[in-house]
Amino acid sequence: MPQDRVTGVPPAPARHTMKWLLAAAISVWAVTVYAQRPAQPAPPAADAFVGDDTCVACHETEGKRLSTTLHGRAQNVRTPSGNKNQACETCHGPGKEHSESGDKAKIRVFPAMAPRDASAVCTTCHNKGAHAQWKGSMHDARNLSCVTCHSVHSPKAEHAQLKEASVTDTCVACHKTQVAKLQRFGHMPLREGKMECSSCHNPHGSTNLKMLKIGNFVNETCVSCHTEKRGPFLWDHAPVREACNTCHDPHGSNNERMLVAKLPMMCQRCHIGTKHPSTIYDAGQVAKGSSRIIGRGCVNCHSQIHGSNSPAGNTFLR
Amino acid sequence: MPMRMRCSLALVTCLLAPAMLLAQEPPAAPPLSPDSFENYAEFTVRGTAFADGSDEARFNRYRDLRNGGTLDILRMTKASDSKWFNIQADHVGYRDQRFYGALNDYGKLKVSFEYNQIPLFFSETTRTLYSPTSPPSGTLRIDDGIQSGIQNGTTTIGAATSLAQPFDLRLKRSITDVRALYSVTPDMDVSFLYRSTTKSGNQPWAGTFGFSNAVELPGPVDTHTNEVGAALEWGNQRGSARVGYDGSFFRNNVDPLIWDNPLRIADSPTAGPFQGRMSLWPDSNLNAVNVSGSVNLAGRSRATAYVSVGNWTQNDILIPFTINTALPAIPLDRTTAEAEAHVTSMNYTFSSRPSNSLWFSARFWTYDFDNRTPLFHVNQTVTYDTSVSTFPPGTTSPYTLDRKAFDAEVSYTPWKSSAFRAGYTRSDINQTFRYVDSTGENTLRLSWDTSRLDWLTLRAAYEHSNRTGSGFDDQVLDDIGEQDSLRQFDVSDRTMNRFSLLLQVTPMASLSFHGTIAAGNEDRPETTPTGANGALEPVFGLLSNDNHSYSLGADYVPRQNVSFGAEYVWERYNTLQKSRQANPGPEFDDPRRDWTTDGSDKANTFTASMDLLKLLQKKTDLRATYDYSHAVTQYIYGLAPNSTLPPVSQLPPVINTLQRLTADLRYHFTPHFGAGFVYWFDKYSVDDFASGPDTLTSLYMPSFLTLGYLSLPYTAQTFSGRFTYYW
Repeated sequence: MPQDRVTGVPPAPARHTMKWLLAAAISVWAVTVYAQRPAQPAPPAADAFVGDDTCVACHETEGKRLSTTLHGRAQNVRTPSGNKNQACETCHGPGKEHSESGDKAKIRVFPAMAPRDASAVCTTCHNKGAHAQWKGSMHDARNLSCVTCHSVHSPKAEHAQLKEASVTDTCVACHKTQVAKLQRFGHMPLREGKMECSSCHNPHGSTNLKMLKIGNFVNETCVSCHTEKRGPFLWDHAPVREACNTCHDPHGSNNERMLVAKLPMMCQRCHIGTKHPSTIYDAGQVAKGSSRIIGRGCVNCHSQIHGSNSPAGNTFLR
Repeated sequence: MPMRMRCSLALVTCLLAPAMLLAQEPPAAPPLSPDSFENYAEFTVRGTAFADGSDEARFNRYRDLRNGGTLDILRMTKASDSKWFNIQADHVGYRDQRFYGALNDYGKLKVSFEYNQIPLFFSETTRTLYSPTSPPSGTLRIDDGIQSGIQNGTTTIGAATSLAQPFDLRLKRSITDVRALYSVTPDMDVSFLYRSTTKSGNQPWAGTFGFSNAVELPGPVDTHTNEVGAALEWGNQRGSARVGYDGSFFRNNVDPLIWDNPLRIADSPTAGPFQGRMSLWPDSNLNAVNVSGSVNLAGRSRATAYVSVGNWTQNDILIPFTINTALPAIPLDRTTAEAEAHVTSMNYTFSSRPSNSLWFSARFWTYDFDNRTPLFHVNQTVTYDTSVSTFPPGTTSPYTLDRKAFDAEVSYTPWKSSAFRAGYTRSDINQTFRYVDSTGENTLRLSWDTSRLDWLTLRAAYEHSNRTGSGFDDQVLDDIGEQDSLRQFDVSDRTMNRFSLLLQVTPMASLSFHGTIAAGNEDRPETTPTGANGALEPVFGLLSNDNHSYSLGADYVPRQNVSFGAEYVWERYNTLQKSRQANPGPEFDDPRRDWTTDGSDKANTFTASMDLLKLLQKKTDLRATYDYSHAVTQYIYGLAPNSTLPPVSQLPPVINTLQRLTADLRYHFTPHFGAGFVYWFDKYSVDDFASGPDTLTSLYMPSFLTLGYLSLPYTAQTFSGRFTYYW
């Protein structure tokens, strides 16, 4: 008999486990904050700032480059340049000691800073919109910082001030296999220039899994483009409702439609029952021209595989 | 004054005057180069030569690379102290054209518009007996003479395929995207989004009438999705708050689909209908509101909260069980779908850096897909519009999922350049209509990241997770005629391990080497207790899933504007799954009929690039790239030691190889004008037993009318002339 809908409340052991974990996390935080809280540094004195003219006297190239970027648009009070005559020192900190001694240790040099210190400067302003979830994100947890991927003074990309010429070139530094899959037979149009990694992912963090930027779950990202598969349908297909990546590899695969396995082998991972789902479709069946393996395999018949709205669609034939 | 002296004075004056003038002129400006200009327009004339038998559709799959000329790239920017205006255009007039415009009124308003077309060219070798229409229609007809001739035995479907008409099987997606962001105050923004996506064309689609009458159709596609979004967001150094709305409205202009049965001209209660009917994707709506906020706390801490509440609805009129007038009409449980889901998601994150060396983060995430679609009662159903049968389960299965996950991570940074991290995740999923009520998974993560050293970057991570299910109900499996020991891999018990290592060494500023290692495995129990006596039975389904990959690469940048790079990636993926080939009855419980599929996926990818810029008086740019990807997939069947099944004839491997060489030479005659020559060599080879020309030898395979959509290779050489104007 079909099951009634469960209440949706986690089973009691899991609920207690989560409460205990939350309580433990809060306790640890409280102890470390109040036991080891670093003294708050006093805000810098006004005379610690020297002004942009002093900075560009030595760093002329950086100053010129900044002026061509959005950070250099003085009309926008949100930008560093919107802070009158303190465009450089808004990010790099007061420059008096550095300008007098030339000592790099007396100024913020982002490539030399601890990653989270560098990110803390950027997120002073970049703390909403696409950047709202940076703290605690996967990249933050792995000790990346804003300057791992972005360059304020010497960007190469057309947008987003990336250090590399494109989003894919940026991501490939760490995500080799995902980018290698873009070259596969079944792929989305990234290598044709119609999509980028950031079409699906927000590298700054998100409320979704795997830093997907749209929606709140894997499927919501996929159906933002493949909306015809959103449903809900009269007849849902369980692995589809579970997650699109149950059957598809979104980065690319050697199979049609980016399936993680060829048909019928893909379907035979779950359909073991009698008759044709459990039949071995070998080379002999190929030679006979069995529609269960040649062409598009199972979906030669079961076209409504993502869900059907036909009353007779229980096996997705209609 | 004597004449000679006047002449000498005049001569000296003439000689000195230019020097004096030059001495008064300002220093010469640096010479102009194309880099001096933000704006450029590039016109391209292109021609491609294909080797015989090349699949030109595959070459053009997501592009339009036809011969001819176009405004290939336009980039225009106009900036002042207060505004920035940008226009972009790509491949103007071609099927993959793109237009973009943006205005940024600094600190006040940002507006952007984009129109982007993405083609999908399946095949130019396809043929069909059906008459597709433009715009796509929901009715596909075959000539009545063919249907009656086949039904009456005066012709055959094989003979009829000679009348099939060729057509290009293609789809097009057109996206219009408009965004606006208005800054009410320096801390507050109002944003708006509208996106319209139209998809039209044909795609391979199935319209079968039985095991002996499978039909591949040019499935019509004519859909339109409108999306709107609006948000009000406030943020400053203390925190942020946001409230937003998202709506998505999908409309399908082709529904239902009705198509002729090639084998029949009249309905029959036993031999099938003369036409079939199915509901295509239903119109659906999504409405969701979300609220989020964050606050910065002591100890460099930040807490964020996010809640989203949405409603998915779909209420299409239901078509009857069958279009076959010779079968009895089965009453519908209701006339419309009444499909609805309440979707609620929450995300709470807390991160803190109480000291310079200690960081931690905790997150609690929920996603509740509460499917409120009423059960649709079905006692009898119709298969293939051909026959009536009973439906033992009696109702539909509106799947519901409730996911929760708790994450905690701590990172210790003993010195600036390195961080050690440990993390734990507990996730729980409650679901309906699956063989387990719920699954719970514990994941432990460890990682070490070293960066910020000039010469070394090292990132290593290990993850171990263990998933178990509870609330097992074998009735769910019995209802669908499955083995009680089937374990569907998306919810089955499993143990998973993953390891990755990335190493980058930069012995000198101009040279770096990098490599990665990654490995992972998923193991599932091979036996499980079943039945009242708990006897161990072999588990069916996916049993294991392993992967390994390695990469090695180098980058050499001896000086500015000169760079070389190369990378090689090796990947291996292996799976093992188990099944039992059986009909109902004694075979169902006979282990001698068990069989396995050992799947392997192997891929080798190599890329190389070279940039030689500003050569020859800084006027010449030369770029070259090479990409190679070779992937082999193979499935090996295995039988039980004392198998009663006939011997297996193993399948050949599926091989896909892609090579691409590009060379781009550009010469800047003047700072404003450049010309170039581009050469592409593309070679794609494929050997696919399922869709190659050696398998699909005819439009009509035994019991299967196809479109002739084949996997074919191509070899193409593309020559382009480029003319670029900079200003």
